[in-house]
Amino acid sequence: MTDPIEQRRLLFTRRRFCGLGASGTLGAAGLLGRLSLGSLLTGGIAQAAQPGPHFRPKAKRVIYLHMEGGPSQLDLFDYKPGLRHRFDQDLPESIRDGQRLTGMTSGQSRFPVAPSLFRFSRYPNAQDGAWVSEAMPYTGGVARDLCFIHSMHTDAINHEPAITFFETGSQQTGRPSFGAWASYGLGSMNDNLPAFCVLISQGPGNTQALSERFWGSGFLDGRHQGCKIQSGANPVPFLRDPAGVSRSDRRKMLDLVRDMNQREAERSFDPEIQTRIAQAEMAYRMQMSVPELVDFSDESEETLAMYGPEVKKPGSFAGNCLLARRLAERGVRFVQLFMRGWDAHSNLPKELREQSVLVDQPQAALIRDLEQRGLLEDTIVMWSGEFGRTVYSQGTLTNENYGRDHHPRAFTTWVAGGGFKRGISYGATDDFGYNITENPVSVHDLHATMLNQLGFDHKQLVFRNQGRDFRLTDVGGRVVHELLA
Amino acid sequence: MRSPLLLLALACLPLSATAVEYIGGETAAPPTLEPVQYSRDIRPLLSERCFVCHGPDVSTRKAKLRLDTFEFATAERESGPAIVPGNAEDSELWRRITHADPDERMPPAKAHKAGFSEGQLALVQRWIDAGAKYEKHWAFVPPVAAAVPRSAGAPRANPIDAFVEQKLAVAGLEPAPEAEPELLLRRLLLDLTGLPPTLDELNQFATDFARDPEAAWSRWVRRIFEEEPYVSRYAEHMASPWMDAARYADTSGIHTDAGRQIWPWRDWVLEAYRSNKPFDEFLTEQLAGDLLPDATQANLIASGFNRNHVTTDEGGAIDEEYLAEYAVDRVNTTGSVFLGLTMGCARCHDHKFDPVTQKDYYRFFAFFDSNEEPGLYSQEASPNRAFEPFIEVPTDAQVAQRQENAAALEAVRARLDSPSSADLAELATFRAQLPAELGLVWMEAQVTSATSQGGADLAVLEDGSVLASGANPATDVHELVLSTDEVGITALQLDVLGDASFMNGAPGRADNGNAVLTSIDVEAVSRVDPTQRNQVALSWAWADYAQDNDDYGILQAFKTRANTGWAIAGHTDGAERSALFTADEAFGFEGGTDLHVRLGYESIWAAHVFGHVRIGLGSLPQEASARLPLAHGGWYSVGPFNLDSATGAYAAEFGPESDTTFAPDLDFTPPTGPALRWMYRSDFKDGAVMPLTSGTNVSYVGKEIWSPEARSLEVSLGSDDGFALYVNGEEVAAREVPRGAAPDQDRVRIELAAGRNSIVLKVVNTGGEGGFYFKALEADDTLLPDLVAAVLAPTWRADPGALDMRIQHAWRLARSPEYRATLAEESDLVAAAAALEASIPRTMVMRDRAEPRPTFVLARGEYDKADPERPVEPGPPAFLGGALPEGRRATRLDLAHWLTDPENPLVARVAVNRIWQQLFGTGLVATGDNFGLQGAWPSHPELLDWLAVRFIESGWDTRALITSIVGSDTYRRSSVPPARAREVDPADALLASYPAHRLTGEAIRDGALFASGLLVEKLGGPSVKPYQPAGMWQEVAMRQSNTRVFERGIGDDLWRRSVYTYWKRAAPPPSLLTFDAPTRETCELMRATTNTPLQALVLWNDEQFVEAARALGERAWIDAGGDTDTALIDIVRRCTSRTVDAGELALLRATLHDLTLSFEAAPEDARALLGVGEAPSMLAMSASSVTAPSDAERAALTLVASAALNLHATITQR
Repeated sequence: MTDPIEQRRLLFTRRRFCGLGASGTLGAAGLLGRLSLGSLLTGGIAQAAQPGPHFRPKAKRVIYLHMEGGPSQLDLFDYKPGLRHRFDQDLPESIRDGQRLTGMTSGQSRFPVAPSLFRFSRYPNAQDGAWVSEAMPYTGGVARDLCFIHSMHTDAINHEPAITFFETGSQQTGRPSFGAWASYGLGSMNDNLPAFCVLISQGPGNTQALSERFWGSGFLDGRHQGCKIQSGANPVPFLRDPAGVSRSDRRKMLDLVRDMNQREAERSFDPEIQTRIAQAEMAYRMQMSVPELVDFSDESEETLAMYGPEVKKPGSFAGNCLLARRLAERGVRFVQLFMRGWDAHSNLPKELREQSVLVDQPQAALIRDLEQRGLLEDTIVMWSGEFGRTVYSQGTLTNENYGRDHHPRAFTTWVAGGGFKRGISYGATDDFGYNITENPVSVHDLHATMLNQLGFDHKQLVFRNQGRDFRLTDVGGRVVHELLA
Repeated sequence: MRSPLLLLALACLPLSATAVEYIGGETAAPPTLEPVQYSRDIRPLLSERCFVCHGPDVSTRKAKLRLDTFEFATAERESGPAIVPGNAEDSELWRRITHADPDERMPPAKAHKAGFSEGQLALVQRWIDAGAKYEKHWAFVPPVAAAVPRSAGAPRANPIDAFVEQKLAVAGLEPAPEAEPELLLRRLLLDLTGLPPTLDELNQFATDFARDPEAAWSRWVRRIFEEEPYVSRYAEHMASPWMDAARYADTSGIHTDAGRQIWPWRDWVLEAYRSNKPFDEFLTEQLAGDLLPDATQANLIASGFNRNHVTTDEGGAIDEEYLAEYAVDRVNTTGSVFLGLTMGCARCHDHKFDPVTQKDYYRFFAFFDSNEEPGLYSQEASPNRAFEPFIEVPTDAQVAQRQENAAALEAVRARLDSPSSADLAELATFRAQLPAELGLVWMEAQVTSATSQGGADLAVLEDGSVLASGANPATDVHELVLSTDEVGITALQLDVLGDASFMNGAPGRADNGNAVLTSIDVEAVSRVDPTQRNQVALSWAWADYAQDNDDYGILQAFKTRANTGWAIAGHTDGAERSALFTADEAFGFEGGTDLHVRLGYESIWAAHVFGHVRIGLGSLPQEASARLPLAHGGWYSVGPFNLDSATGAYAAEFGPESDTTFAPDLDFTPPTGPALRWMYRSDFKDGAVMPLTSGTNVSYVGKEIWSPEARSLEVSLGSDDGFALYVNGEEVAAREVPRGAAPDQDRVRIELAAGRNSIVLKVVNTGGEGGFYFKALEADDTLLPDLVAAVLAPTWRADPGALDMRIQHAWRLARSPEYRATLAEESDLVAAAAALEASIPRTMVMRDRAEPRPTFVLARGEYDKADPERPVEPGPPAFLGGALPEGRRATRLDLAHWLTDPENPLVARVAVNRIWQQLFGTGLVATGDNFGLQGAWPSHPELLDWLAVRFIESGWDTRALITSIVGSDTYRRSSVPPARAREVDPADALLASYPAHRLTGEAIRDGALFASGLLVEKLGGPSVKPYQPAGMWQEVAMRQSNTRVFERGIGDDLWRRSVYTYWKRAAPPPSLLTFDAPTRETCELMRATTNTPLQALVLWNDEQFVEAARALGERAWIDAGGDTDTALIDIVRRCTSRTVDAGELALLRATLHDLTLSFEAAPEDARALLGVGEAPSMLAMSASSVTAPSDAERAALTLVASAALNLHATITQR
């Protein structure tokens, strides 16, 4: 290729899709060889250059632990000992204050207060300790690293819109998810893995539906779509070569495709062909790097033990927590981990206990493990349901049993790492854990604060779609500086 | 998923490459010679920077300044007019945008808007100096056909070329030459049918083209539109993007993401394209087919367009909220698809850029919010349900079959209803003799007292029955005292009677006429010595009817389980009921007995009390009791208790073995997971194999059996695999055997006590399916349960006819083989009718409510914030002009007419642009989904308008439009851009060459199936489920979702065109998604075209593509008669339409050779690869005498064919 115009054009094109404005000094071959899968996944010929951070980021990556179904803050983190004396009393109307009810309890004639059956202990943190339920002793053990927000609130009262809101900043469908925004804004730090990965664990409790939209790219380029990774033999769909095809056979086939495509490029001057060749090479490398990713055999016994007995079980929350750490370690920007099964409308004490046993040790291990490896500093670990649960019992209240309905007005979320304050509690609720009494934090606020740590002014990280600038925080959100170190 | 590159293209008109600055809807500075044009040059600059605060939306307007119209911008203000026409220096606008002080300069820093560049400032200055002329946005003015430009050279036959070449000439660009013939045919077929040409088609075309290119070309265009199979392929290909636009899918999208039928709508679209339905009709029928006068079935089906949106079935959802969301979706979709407008922005406030007010929005909304539908849909087990409102779409054959079934059923039932007179006479004899035969005697007794614990008034009527009135508490116990002088009493008959004073005259006193008897308690007291009293132990019961939605059988009146009882379903038919109880031991005191009968009504259902009862007493000798049938309770099950291995499964005990209660609150602990409990199983029946959970596990099933006296019984069992049987907690039989369940595999004799017995069957499953079979083999002379009715004393029921019919039925069943045969015939017919009904397609339609819902502007767009001060009537946005009929409420049909009015400025432009986008990859307006002020300026405005006007004049003829475009030289140019065009216009906006672009995921898959010969072509029908990786549905679905488990299709379903692939919104077809298909949750008009590693993985490893590669290799081998080179050439040509050159052939040959050696060294690998996919080997099926290749050669050919399917040239339209 001696034609100078041609060379300039190709370089121009590559720069655009690689987001590598400064690599012009490399020869074409060198450039190609250095292309990373991440940049190819997130850049793209038809995509404007990555916006990049607006200021120096405190955090490089996010692990988003979504407790799908809405765990009960009253039985885990929002300690209300005074409720003991109010067992089975009607929730005062002044507290409920015309609150919208779901169709599931709107027919209930009374709203009896159900004090938590769980005992709470005070665990040391940077303040006067954090109250954590007996259901989560390991989590209590890492309270020094956690930033509890007891004053989270959301707009939606049913799962589908609430999860959509928590993931995309809008209750309506069609918006990009947080991970897609992070991928769009920051790109990947890894040559061989997507910038945004999604892990799913099934809990024993009452589950709710998931949907591609929760990790979708909306109107952003499809490259920013979350890539589901399953533990087990087939971690990414279509990753595995068909039966009978060896690595060397694949290489031969791939070489043939590359050589034929190269000839086509010379005939057609189609710059897209170089991209395609590079993408196929990345696919080839990904076939090796992903199985290595999900293979825990290089983990020490201590590490495996720390995550608990289920760590080797494919798809378990423990296994996925470890996988999340491995992804973080490899530079994946955004890991979205769903734990299903928190929707305890009835039999809450039993279901919550079963769910908690599966998440408590692994999530604490994740914090410790990241800390030990020096990763917690620049990794945001966020733990939340899409809403909390009501203080009053749904269905029959007995001394041993109760259920709780959805509660969007106040619930507890915790964040660790990534420049968030360690060992604090923020915000508070009333005696019933029903209404926020100080420092409310909305979903948009939380998103804005997390984006801030990733180096973005949430009002400026926008994408123009159908003539309008859209952002993760829609038209709201404020950075909650009080949460930041 | 917009593609800014395309936008970029438009900016590159006659500019130097360095001047490229293009963000969103902005264009860059035009060459200095051209006059500045507001719409093209200035409005985008102001819109981007100023209009959010100084535009149409009053709620966010700052400083009361508005810059979007001449009148406002030039109005007098304190600081002088913002714009002084003809004088930029005196204009406040100019002063502020050029201000040196950043605090004064506009736009302010806090707005996060880019400032004006020097070039842009120069433009603004020139515009103001030239008089600041405002123009209406181009797209909001009806199109007028411009004069076709006259080119300097030879006049162009096709006006499209004249328009395009004029622009090229201005830019100083030469167009590329015509593409090679083989690529031309490929381009045409891929664009119009979505499939590449066959080798024969390529050869034929080459010959024809050499003779007369123009004739060959037009003949092919005609053929595609007029001949099969091309017309159907055309329809299938054109329908595909319409599915995105109309957000078509096979599931509901939210919560359980339930399956639903609306594919007949998709088939309607196919037929519309096949028959070239004029676009105005295409639009009208989809928006308002249901409102057309004399709407046909097809019209109704078409209206399903507005039902394709997502719907919810989440329990807590609020109806009103989702009704609003559905209407919103219809507004947004209609606005985007037909008008190219982003109406959605005006839901919460006036549009920030386009002149759509919030009121306009809700006027449009009012067309769509009166559908007769729920907001929250129910959940049903069937994934084939059509959501209401829907219509049935039976085929003619199905209609005929339905009538035939009905007639046959009527005939059979007539036979069943007319027993012969001989039969009737015999039956009469039987009934007359039965009491004597049994030794049954009914006795005299007087009700001497009737009291209610709850305070109801109980009156003893003359006929001896007891009627309740007055207070009707939630729970109650009625005590009736019967006095009798008889002894040896063993039977008690309870008639539950209606009364005019009750709801519907039904026997229950509850609001709905129902009642539940939770206990019956009988105590005999001696009248001679009242200290002598004994509790009567009832051992057996029978009732003529009980509810079966839970365990509501008569045995529940024995109070073995809390909270339930004998429920009589009084809320259904309101019929009277009868029950019979027997005691194992006779009772009654010499000298007279007062019998205290206490009837308990203590269920959770309030006031479910019998209002009118009569009790009779009788004596049934011991021998007669032996002829009574056993009384069976409902089945319960607990399990499965899953095991890691079958070892020790028979010995493992989990607790239910020794349980005799079936109490629903007992916990049994499995090896892992939460505790399990007994569950009532209304689905379990005796005498048929019942399925149990598959896997390695233990399950328990059980029930209670009440026997009138101690009795020995033989039971017939089946099980998968072995079993243990427990009677009253004791093991009585066990068998360890690996087998599938079948009837009557084992027989066991068991001993029943008088009264209650518990039967528990433990079934051990060592893997695979599970199941059991249970049948009690009663003695031959035992009365059938229904014949027990003949034992009753003549009842006091108002209408004993129902009981008579029951007796007649049972008696004939026992005696008449012909009757049994006719019954079997009836049940077959009923089953056939049910199967037919289930197979009749249904499809969702629009159906307006009789009374339209009132519509109000919703504050901030929230469903519960309707503003009562702002009611609205249906109507289109005022700024687009056009009129609706006056004097009545406008309908969707009026809207359709308004849209298809030739004066509508948007509809034809948007439609024409969509076709252009389909043919060139990019529309003339690059933002095909936004023609508003923030949309892109058209690359060829005059051409767009000329095409739009012609489209309307042609009668909205889509085929004519396409014919005219593909007939142009512009369409037929080579995709290799000329050198200068590559530099000046790298994105090919000026169309110097044909813009190459990647094929859609559908076309890539369909092309692979077609090239390999696997494609199964069949127009229309239910959606199919081709290959996809396991587990992708389960991973996201809820347990109760009816689309939780993906069941791969069989046979032809694997190889149909992609437009038929089942679309589950929560987990869309993964390979299509990888190639940028949207999720179909909202309307999508412009798919992105990405290039990712995951796409390479799909093409390499998706079972569908591996199988296609194998078939392609085999097919080429057969066609080439075993000649390797020919086969290799053909493989590539089938994929790319191109004949490889010698160098490429050498590459192919070398790779084939290498791979063959590699597979020869690993024959098991070769066999494994050849085993991928369900399609049988073509070599095995081929009748040709070609020498079959070795497995190694076949495997190597498969991988080489896979390479061919992966080529850039294969998956690219060029």
